[in-house]
Amino acid sequence: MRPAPPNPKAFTILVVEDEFLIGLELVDVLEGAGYAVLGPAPTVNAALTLMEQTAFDACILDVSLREGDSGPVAEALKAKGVPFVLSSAYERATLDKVPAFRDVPNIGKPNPPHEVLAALAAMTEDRGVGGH
Amino acid sequence: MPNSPTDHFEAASTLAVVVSSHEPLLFLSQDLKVLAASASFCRTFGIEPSTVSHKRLSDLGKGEWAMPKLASLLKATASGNARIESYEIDLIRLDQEPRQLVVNACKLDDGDEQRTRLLLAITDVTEGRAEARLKDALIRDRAMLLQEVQHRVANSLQIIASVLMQSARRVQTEEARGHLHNAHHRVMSIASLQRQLSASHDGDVELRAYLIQLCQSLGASMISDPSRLSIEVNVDESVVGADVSVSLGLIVTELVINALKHGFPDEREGMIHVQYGSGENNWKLSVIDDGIGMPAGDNAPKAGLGSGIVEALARNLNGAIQVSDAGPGTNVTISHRNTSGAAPNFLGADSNATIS
Repeated sequence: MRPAPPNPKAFTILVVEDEFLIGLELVDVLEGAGYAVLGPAPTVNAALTLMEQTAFDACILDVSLREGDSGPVAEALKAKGVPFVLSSAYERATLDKVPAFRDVPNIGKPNPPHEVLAALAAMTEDRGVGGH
Repeated sequence: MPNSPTDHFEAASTLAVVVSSHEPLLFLSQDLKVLAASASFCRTFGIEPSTVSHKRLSDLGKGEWAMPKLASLLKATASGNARIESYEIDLIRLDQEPRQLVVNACKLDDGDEQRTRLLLAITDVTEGRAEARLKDALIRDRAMLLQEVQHRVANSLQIIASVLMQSARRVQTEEARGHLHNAHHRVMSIASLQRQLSASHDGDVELRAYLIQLCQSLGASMISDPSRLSIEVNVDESVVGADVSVSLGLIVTELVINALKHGFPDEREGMIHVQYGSGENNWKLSVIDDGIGMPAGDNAPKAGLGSGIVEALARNLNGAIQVSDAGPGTNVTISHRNTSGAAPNFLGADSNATIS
């Protein structure tokens, strides 16, 4: 089978996703690979609240949430120094209109589970065990 | 102004030409007095024709033509130092919307050094500019709308893919799970095309980039040991319409899934080749594996949903399916020859290909 991420139990992933069914599936994929999941947070406020309350190692960030884009979450993640990837069907040029999204990789949508896991493995790789 | 007989004579013919012009025109003396204004000028800018003669340009109407920049440009033109070409100014009038004007002026040379005449042509471009702005705005709106639609389509495909994977995890039988996984692959195949389409902007798809992305995605989710099995994609420069590419992509998806599932049991090593090439009136898509080959005769497995889909899609593309022994392995080739000219929307491939 697919190689598991290095010591995945040690990593917690914040999932920001406002589409219930997509969030449910992401949680399944991440937990199936041994990650702990924080969320899914469906709004900017929910995400910011979770970020204050709980430590985590990386984030998968949906861009267009019901109340607007998730730029404020991206800014907070950058301020915290937590690695994250975008999960958006928008093109790069559209994403780059929001400064906080620039230089942040986008795994695209729809994304097959293996691509989500590969992106997470790359992000958590250099964070070492028990990053928080 | 001195009115010598010749002066008067020259002016009469010139004035007649100016007055009858369909374009807004002003015929001016060196000191910017109006010698004649075309009827079209008076009509366009709301000036009573009987009042214009020998009036200063700056006194026309209610003084709205007293524009210092225009006056200095006209003086420069009169002294031969400049020519006004497509100079843009705004005409500001009391209680009226500003008009955007484009003015052109030239010095008329009639051989008399003492007497300088200027011809000033004024075009009101307000409506044209507004129309151009509206058109730009419509094009921007349309592009944004298209992007929103693409975004929604992709999001919906993600929801469908998520639901299928959720179901696949929860069903009890391996067979049902297999069907749900296949359905997931098909959705992802269309999603992959959707990405290529939104990058292309003109509705055409570069087949090579699409099939490479598609097979990478299939391989990543279905091949657990890439050193044992691999997929090689060999596609020419073909560019095809969206409806053709969706069919070709789904055919490749089905055939690659079939080969991976049935061709390489017991940790058998091997390779799957996906090939596509097209000529002026024909194209050929092949998926060739070096696996165990298709059992023939009564032992042949029942044609599953997969091959049914391939048949239907191939028919849709006017393609003939040929299954042959690749010794070892299986070669499935769909070939199309355009004899009737009734080919599906196909935009040709090489530079010498025709558009049918």
